[in-house]
Amino acid sequence: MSTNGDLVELRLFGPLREVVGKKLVSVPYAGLTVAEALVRFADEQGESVRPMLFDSRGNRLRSLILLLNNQTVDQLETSRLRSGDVITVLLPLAGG
Amino acid sequence: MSDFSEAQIERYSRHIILREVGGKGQSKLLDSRVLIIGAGGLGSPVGLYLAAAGVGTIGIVDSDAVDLSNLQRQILHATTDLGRPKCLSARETMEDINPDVCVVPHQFHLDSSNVLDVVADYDIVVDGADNFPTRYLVNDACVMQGKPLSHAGILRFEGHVTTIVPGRGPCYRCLYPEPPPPGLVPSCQEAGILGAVAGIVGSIQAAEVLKLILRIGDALVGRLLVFDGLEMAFRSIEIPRDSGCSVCGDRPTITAPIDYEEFCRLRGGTESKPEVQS
Amino acid sequence: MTERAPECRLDLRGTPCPLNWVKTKLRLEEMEPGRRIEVTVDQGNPARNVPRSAKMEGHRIVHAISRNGAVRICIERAEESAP
Ligand SMILES: [Zn+2]
Repeated sequence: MSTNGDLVELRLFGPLREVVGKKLVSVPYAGLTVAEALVRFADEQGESVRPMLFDSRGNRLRSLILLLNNQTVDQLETSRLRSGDVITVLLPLAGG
Repeated sequence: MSDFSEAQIERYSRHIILREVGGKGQSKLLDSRVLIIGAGGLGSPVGLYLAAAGVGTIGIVDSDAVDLSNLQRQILHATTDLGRPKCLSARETMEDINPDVCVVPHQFHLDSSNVLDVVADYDIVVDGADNFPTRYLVNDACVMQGKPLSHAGILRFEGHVTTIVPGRGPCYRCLYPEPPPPGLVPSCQEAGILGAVAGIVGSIQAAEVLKLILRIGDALVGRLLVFDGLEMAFRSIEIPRDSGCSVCGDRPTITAPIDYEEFCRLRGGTESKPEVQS
Repeated sequence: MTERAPECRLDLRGTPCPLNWVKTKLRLEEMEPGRRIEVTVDQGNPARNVPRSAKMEGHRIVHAISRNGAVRICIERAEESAP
């Protein structure tokens, strides 16, 4: 069970927003690292979301921009999320 | 004494009045050469504004013909242009707006064999392509030749814009080292695009190009501007250069243009299992 | 000699705003800082707008003399007109 103190927000763009159906998702991920949060999110959202974040071997896609509170994250594996943090996930857009 | 004609003085008066432009700036615009990749949703507003601004030579790369489904957003083309090469339709529209402008059509598919030659002829490049292979190709060519590149991508109600100045900030591969797996990010053809969003984002590219030529203001170097047309909000994201970037990094591994197919093979060759694509 | 003679003169009577200023500005850009230009414009809006635009770009209005429905404006070019 989550309390408000656990909540971080995921801000979604592009095809990810399409698939999830929301631009902002509140998830009880405080305490996880950014990398762990993405794994958890893919696990919870299921097979439509996973390929937008991970390849078939579970490696994070190299075509993602991940931001923590609007800053690029150097240490995805060690930066721990705090309540109220916002993770932004961007995929490149091909359209022109 | 300036060598503007009376008509030019009047045509460009609103530029010349600007303190940051003046007659000298307008002369720079007339002397400059800009290459637009794609005469589509982004290329249209870019082409229109650069032509109107008096950018003297504008190259357009596009191998497609005008289709009825283009006209909802590709405002360089008209209903009477259906079936015509986009390059030629674009040239006619742009030279109609401003006879000072020379539009050079490059009516072929851009690939690793021709991209360097095409880019070499221009001062600044605008990426308005509709596919990832061309975007990586153009980025790599611009980095290799040190040409500033205005990059933008659009989908549905969203747009991303950044300005790449090799040596001064990150390139497209610093942002996204590799293209997403094929089919993951839909095209405008599949997912749609609000025409006006192309107009907004392309107009930002046009403004960036004009600023680069005029050497005024702050370019979107090291910043990705993310436009959300439903929310009607812009977010500016600071993106650092990646010193390990495969094309603009300290030890580049990509030193010649590569085609997307080849790119995929390269990846496949370094990895044991082939990618499973949905 | 206290009053430096204008380096060039432009007769812009009959030239509407803002073209009168555009033509003045193009000349100013070609001149060395400290040099002067004398432009003759119509009274009314042109006589108000041209000096205002010149001042906004940092140039100095040396004098403006009304005569026969026109105004002769002497402008001294600023050090650097680009911001
Ligand atoms: Zn790079």
